[in-house]
Amino acid sequence: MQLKNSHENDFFKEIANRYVDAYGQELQQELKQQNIQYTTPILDERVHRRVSMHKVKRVALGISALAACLLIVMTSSLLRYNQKSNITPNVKPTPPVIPLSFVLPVNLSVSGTEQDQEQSIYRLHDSLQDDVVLVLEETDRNINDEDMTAVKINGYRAYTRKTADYNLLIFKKNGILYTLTCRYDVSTLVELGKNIL
Amino acid sequence: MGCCILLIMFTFTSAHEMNAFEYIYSKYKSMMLQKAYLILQDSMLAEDAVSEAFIRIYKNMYKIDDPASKRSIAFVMMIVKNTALTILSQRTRQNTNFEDEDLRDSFDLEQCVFSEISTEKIYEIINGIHEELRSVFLMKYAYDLPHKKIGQMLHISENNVTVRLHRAKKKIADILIKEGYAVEKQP
Repeated sequence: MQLKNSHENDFFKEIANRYVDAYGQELQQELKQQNIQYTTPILDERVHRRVSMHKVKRVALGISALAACLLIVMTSSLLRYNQKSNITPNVKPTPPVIPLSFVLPVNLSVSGTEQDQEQSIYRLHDSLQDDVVLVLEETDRNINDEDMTAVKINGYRAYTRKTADYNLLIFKKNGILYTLTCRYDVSTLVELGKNIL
Repeated sequence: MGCCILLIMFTFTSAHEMNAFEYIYSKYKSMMLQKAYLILQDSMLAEDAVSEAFIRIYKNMYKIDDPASKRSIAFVMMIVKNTALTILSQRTRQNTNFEDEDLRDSFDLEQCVFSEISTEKIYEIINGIHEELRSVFLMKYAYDLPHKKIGQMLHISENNVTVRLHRAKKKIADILIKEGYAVEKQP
């Protein structure tokens, strides 16, 4: 499916950047006029301690990465020496858009699409006024079902969660993780789930 | 050799980032405490919020080119306000309920004609949406952060980021139509 959201993205980028510039300017003015500087020795110590701990982790990570690099270089040199084989670089392909492989219920239609790294995001307009956001991701990871309710849809296991803010339905089929959210009624998601599973 | 260069760059980057971080800390700390206090009305909690905000900022120093710039100060204040709101919602055990009964059912930017919008109007419109929606919108479109990173910075799930972004865009589009800055093309 063709993703045609460049116009929308450009528009929102422009207004977001203009807002940030205006907001930042206002804050700079406020900062100039500020007379009070708080002395906070306990906060200072807390922040610097946490930052130091983070720095140590980063340096350790860097050294581990360097050691791993050296190990790979040595191993590949050894292999080349023994086998005289070519090593081709492993280029990670751009994740493709995951198309919709099912028919939408009559009340739902695609109103927008977006690709965010490995996730294909579809915004579905609902004529019954409970719009849905559908996220598809090809993944090996299992569903984290903590604080979720298990349900069965067409014999498949799925999980739901209801909060004050939104309803969620999540399940996996053929290596694709489906995450559905809507505002008002989880049955909107279950009906869509029946078309998918 | 490449690995050595990478390690040197990493170290240099870290030194540069530390300088920028120290600048941000000394320059903006007091204002951040004020912003957090306005939300939390408690000086101890405000310090907690600022402390947490600085850690989130430190982990994302790559996003801050010039710590004295407008964009950087806006980014910093956005982080501390969201951190304060998170603490507030945890203490009151209330999630923000985004009322959207008045939102348009559908809005297709491809089918709209826009009139010129002043920066003052844009400021007013975006200030009119809830802080938790606004932050996600700005992190995505002004700071170009992916959903996963936004979720990590605001301590919300990726799904929640997607939902909030969708709401923010809908709300902005709705205001634009209502105030006459966008008109749907006639078929």
